[in-house]
Amino acid sequence: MTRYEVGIGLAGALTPGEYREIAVVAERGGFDAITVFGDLMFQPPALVLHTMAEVTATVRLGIAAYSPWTQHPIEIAGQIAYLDRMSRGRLFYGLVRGAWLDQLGIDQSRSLSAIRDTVEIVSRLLRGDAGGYEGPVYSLEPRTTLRYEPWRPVVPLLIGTWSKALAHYASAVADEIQAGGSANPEMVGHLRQLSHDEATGRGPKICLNAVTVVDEDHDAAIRAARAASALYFEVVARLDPTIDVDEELMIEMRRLLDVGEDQRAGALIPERILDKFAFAGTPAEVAQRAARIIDAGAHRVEFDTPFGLDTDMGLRLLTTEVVPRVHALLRG
Amino acid sequence: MTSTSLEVSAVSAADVEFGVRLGGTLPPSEYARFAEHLEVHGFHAATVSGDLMMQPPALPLATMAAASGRLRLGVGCYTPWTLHPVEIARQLAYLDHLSDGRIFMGVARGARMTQLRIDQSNALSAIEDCVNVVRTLLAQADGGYRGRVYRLAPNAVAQYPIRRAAIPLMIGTWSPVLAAYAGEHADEIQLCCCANADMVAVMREYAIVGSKRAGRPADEPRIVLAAVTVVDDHADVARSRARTEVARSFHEAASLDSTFETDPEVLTRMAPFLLAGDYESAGRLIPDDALARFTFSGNADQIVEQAMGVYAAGAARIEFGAPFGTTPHRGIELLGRRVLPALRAVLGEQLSPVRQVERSR
Repeated sequence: MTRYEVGIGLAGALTPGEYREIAVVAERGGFDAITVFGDLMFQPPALVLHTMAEVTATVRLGIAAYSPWTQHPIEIAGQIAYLDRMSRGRLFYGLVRGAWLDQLGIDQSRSLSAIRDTVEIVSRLLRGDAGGYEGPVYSLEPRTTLRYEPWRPVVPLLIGTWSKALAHYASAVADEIQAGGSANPEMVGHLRQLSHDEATGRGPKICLNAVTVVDEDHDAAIRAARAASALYFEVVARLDPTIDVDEELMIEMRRLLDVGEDQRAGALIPERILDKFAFAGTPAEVAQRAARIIDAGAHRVEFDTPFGLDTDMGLRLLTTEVVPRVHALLRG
Repeated sequence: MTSTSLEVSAVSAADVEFGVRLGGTLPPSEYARFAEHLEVHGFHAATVSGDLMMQPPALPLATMAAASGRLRLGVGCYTPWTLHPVEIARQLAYLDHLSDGRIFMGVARGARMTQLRIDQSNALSAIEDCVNVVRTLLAQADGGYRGRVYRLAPNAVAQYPIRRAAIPLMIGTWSPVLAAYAGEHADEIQLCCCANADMVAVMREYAIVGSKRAGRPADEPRIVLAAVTVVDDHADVARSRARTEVARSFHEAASLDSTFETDPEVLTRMAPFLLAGDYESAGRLIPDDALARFTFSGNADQIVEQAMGVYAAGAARIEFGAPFGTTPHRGIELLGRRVLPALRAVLGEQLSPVRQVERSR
């Protein structure tokens, strides 16, 4: 078993046939994990992973992530149980507060409670605990149990967060904690501080993931990464305590994103800052950055779509040029 | 069979569908096997129920879509409570791709939500909003949607590929209000836990209120009956198993069927067994005449006769519901080899001259 993992992550906007191909290429190319995002208005990660589970045998598959607002925990438990059985125990699932839910008029003021209720209900259902649960957001009457058999009574949990309160909660329940949208090695130490018990040093494993554009042409990769990361950058840039971002820049980005000008919004991101939120550049540069993140103590580093100037070319470069380099750098 | 076969001159095999309704309790590999067998036997449609605490229907349907090529596949049904309509829309869009346009969606009020302490008092609004949000997203219409339960901001637009902008809608209900809504907006109405031919006319009457409002033909939407099915060469064995299977839902279904009065004492005597989860003992109390209203159970000939009655009354599809037989696969075999061919023969023979001319055109 490796002491670290290299994975890919996808936003769901492709056809089932394309997902099949990506999963096969990624597994053959030596990736340890594939995750599919649950971002609002993209495809449902559980169904995309259903397609991927059918054509893979060893790669871990992760839902990254559910928000606790648009699906009741019993739906989440059902999806997890089905996919875990299909994949013979290769599934893990993530929970995040969720972004862009204002588009649905959802009040997220009780996020932590909603996430806690979801974890409690999913865990109880999977392990067959019929005692019921009473939470501020979600409840389950006693004797409400699954009418099907889960593959495993416990499925690994990932908490995606940049927040202190949620990271603290993750320290007690999660197998992994992830700062979604970060490629900044300094964030590893920060996350460890937030999620690990000072006395025992125990806590969840750490994962960093970010938009990835790898290409032999450094400048072309940077240009494409700017546009691809603009939407996420606007959400997470303020959350990284290790950097300062100009507030005026953020306001202007929001304005451009609101009118669908992702390209122009991305162009505003300075390269030294882009580096903290995207894996962008040549294969050697991207491998270097990933290895630094693992060196800093992360368990998993994840390259997210679009991968390259186009998905196929990017995935090919990741499997043939980046992954071997990451392993070589870490061996050295 | 004579009494029903005399009445079926208005219905033919070309007008009706043979369907099954699967529960969400099987392992993934079983759904693939079912899909293959169902196609071999010539079933037209399969739905997977969304009953509380069963597996979410979208996943078994994804498995079935991959294992089949013709079968229409339906979520039967979503409730508007445990999944936000944005989730429903994206599940449907993906399944529609996987199945090359064979998916349809069912929406129902949902039973046993008290187990999750969900307040269902505004169910009609929730269903309306659910349908409207799904339709707005799949049509990639901008402008958003503002309902009483669910809303969508004007900038909330689907970012995923969509195969069909409109996916057929089935409303699962026994209620006059929802049936009228279905009359206006849906392609099908599904009566779940109902094998009673008399209910077809009742639902048509309810639905016609909406059909008129929308200026639709009186025979729209199509009416679908779905019920626990147990077919076996030994009719007693089949009925005994059907009693156990239907016991859990019997109380609710019996209270909804306006054409048939169940002895209240039966319901009272069943209650303590149901509370204790002893469905076998509860089921033993169901009288034969009631069993025939809420299940398709017996030997193949009896099922054929019962099904012909339902088709003759104007139902467009029967969904023979799990467990099908003493084992599910034996049940499907009997349905496929004995029941469906007999139904095809009767429905074919009964083609009226007018319809034969219409079909030949």
